[in-house]
Amino acid sequence: MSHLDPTRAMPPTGSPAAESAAVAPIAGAVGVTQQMPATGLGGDAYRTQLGATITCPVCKATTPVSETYCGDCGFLLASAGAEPIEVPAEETPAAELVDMADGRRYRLREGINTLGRQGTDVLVNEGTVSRHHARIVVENGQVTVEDLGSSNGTKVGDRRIPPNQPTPAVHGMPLKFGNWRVTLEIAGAGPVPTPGAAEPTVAVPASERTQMAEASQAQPAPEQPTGPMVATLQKIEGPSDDIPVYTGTMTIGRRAGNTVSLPKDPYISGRHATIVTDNTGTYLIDEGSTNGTVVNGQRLAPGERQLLLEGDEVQLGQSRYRFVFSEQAPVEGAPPASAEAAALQNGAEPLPDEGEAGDEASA
Amino acid sequence: MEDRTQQMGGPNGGAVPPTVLGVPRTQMGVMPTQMGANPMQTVMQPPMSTLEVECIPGNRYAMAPEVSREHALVVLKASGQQLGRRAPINICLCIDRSGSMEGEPLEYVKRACDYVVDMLEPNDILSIVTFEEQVDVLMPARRIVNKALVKEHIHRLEVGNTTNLYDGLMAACMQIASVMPQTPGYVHRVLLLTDGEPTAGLKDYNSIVQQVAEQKTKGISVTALGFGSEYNEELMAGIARRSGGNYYYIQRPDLLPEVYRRELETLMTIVAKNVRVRFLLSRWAQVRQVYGQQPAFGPRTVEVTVPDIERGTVRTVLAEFELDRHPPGTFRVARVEVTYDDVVNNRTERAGADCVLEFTNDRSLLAANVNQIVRNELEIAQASQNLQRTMMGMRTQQMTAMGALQELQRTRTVLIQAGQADRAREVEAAMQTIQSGGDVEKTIVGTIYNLDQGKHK
Repeated sequence: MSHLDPTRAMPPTGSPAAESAAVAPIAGAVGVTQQMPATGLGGDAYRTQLGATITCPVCKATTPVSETYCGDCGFLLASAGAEPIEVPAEETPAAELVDMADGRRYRLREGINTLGRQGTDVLVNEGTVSRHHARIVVENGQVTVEDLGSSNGTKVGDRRIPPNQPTPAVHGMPLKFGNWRVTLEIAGAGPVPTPGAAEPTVAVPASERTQMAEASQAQPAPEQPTGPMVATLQKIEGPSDDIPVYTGTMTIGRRAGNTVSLPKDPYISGRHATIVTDNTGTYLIDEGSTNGTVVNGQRLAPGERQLLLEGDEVQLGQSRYRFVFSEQAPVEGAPPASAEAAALQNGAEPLPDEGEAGDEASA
Repeated sequence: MEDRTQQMGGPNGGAVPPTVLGVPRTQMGVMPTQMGANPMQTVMQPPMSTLEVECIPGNRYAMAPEVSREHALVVLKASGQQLGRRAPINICLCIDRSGSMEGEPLEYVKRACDYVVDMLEPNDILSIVTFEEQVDVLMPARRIVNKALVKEHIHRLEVGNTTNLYDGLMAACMQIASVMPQTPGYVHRVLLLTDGEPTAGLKDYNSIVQQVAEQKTKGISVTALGFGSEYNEELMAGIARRSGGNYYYIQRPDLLPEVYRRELETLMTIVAKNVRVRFLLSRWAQVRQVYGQQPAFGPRTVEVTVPDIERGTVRTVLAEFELDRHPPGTFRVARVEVTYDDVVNNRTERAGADCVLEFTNDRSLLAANVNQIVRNELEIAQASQNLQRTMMGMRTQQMTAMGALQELQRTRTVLIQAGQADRAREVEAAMQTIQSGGDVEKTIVGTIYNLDQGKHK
C-alpha cells in the first residue's frame, strides 16, 4: 500500500477557500476584456462583475467562478495571464471509423494505422478482433484496408478480404473486423466538409446539404449570405486565401459550419468573426476570438462593429488581407459563375453605390 | 474464531503454495475481525468517507504542440478503520452435485458449508441451491436460527447426474432476489461451485455470462469457484468478471473449506459496493482504453464498474488517454467521479478527483517526471496481457512449452519488480505445472483475473 501513498500525488490544487480567492480577481480581469457578447456593448459587464461566471481565455466556454477548471477544456482558470492564449487547431483526422453500435469515432491519421486489441493505433476492445488485426493506410483521401492474418477476418463492404492484400475502401463503406462493425468516413469525401484545401471553403447552399453526415446535421446550419458578392478580402500574406464578401451575414471560423471555414489556420477560432453587408456598408465584427481581429493595426473589441472601407488592412489569424470592393457591376440576368454563386444570388439586392456585385466568385 | 490464523497453512499442506488458490488476499490473519464489534463504539467516530479517490497522471507534463498518449491511474482507497458494523450478507451457496463430485469432493463441500453456517451471524441470510440435471432448493433464503439443523440438511446431500449450471445459477439468484426487498444494505452474493462443463440446460458462454451481467444490474454478484481440472475456466472467470465477483481455482478437494471461509471473510469486510468510476473528459482529451475493463463510452464520458471494495484495500483503475494539442498551461484533462453504495451507512456516496496535466513545450520536463506508481501499474497491466498471449499461444500450439516457459519467466520477473509477489508465485506454479506436463490454463486465468482486478493490499 505504501507505493500508493496519496501524499506523493498531484500538483497542488489548494483548498476551496484559496481557490476562490485566487479566481475572483481573475474573473474581473478576464471578464472585462473577454466576456462581452458579440452583440452587446458592455451590457453584460455588470453580470461579470458579480462574478457569477468566468469565460475561459482558452476555449471561451463559460464556467461558474467557483470552479477551478474550465468546464469545457479543463484550463486552470487561475493561471490565466494578461497575454492572450493561442489555441492550436484541432487536428482534423484524415479519416474516421465510426462504431455502428455506439457511434464512437476512431480517428485515422494520414499514413499507416494499425488496428487491433493490443497496442495498436486503433484500439478495439472486442474479443473477436485479433491483437494485430488489420492495417489501414490513408493517403490523400484514398484508403486501403489490409487484413494481417486475423483469426476472424476482415470485410470491406460485403466482401471478406484475403489476408495481406491491401484492398481499397471508399467513403461511407461498412467495414467489419471480427464482429466489430464500423463505417468508414474519409475527410473531404462526400458529406464531410473538406478541410484539406488551403483556400477557404464556402458553405454549400442548403439545397445541396441534404446529404450531410449526421455529425454535420447536428451543428446549426451555416449562416447563408443573401446577396451578391460585393467585395473581396484579398490576401496579402498568410496560409488562407482570398475571401469573397457577399451581401448579407457571413460567419468566419476554423470549424465547418461557418459560411467561410478556414481549417488550415490554427490561429483562427472555431467561430472567429462575422461580416455583415447591408445597404449601409460592410461591417466586420469579432466574435470573441482567441487571437483577435485586427483592422489597420487596431484590434477590435469583441462585438464591436467595424465599418470596412476600400483598402483597409484586415488580419484574421495568421493571414492579412486587403479589403477591396468589386469593380464590375452585376450583369442583369447573366449566368452565374457557379452553383454556389447562383444560390447565393437568391434575393440579391444591389447596393446603391460603390458595392456592386460581380461574378468572380471564389476565383 | 481465533484459531483462524492457525489454520492458514493447514489445508495447503505446505506442498502447494497458498497462491494457487487464486485467492486475492492471503494474509487473512492481519485483518481486523468485525464479528464481535460493538456498534456503539463507532458512533463517536468523526465522519469520514469510506473511499478516498485520487487520480495520478503517468507524467505531470505532456507535450503541448503534439498529440500524445498518457496514462492515468485512479486509486480507490478504502479506509482500514472499522467505521461501523459490517454489512450483513445475503448469500446463496450454489453447489454442483453432478456425478463427478462423488466421494471426497462432496464430503469437503459439506464441510465447507458447515464453515459458512458457523461464520454467519443472526442478521445474515443464507440459501442453498444444488444442481445436477435438476435444480433443488435445499434451503430457501432465511436467517439461520438453528445451525445444527441446517448442517443436518447439508449432510444429506447426494450426487446426481449431469451439470445444469445455468438453471442452478438462476435458481440461486432467485433465492437472493426473493429477500432483497427486506434486505436493503446487504451484500448479495452467489457462491457458485462447479467441477465441470455445463452439460444440461443452457450451455453456451454468451447465454450464461449475459444472464450474469443482468443479475449484476439487479445488485447480485457471483463468485465463481472452479474445482478440479475439468471445469471451464473461461466461463467461470467470465462469470466472475461480468458480475464483479471473485474467481478461485481450487485444485484439490481438501482446499474447499478454506476457500469458502476466505471468500466469506472477504464478503464480510466489503465497505463499498456498486462502485462506478466515470471519467468526464475535457475537450481535447479521449480515453483509448481502460485496462482489464470493458468501458462504456458516451459523449465525453467513459464509465467502468469496479468490483466491491473491502476494508483496508486499494483498487486501481488504469486508463490510457489520447490528448490533442493544447496551448501551454495547466489543464484538467478529466474529472474522475466515483459513486458507490457505502455499506456502513447504507447510502449512495460520491467522491471525485481531477486528472491534471501541465502542457509544455519543454520535452526535458517529461523525461524527468515519469510517475513510478503509474509506471508500475502499467507493467502489471502489461503482464496480464502477456499472460493472455502466452496462454493463447499454448492453446493454439503456436508456442512451444519452452517458449511459454521463457515468456512466463519474463512475466514473473516483471511481477516481482512490480511488487506483485503473490501473482509472481502463481506464475511460478504455472511454470512448474508446464514442466511436469500439466494443464496450466486454470492457474493462468486466475492470475490474469486477479491482475485485472487492480486490487492491492
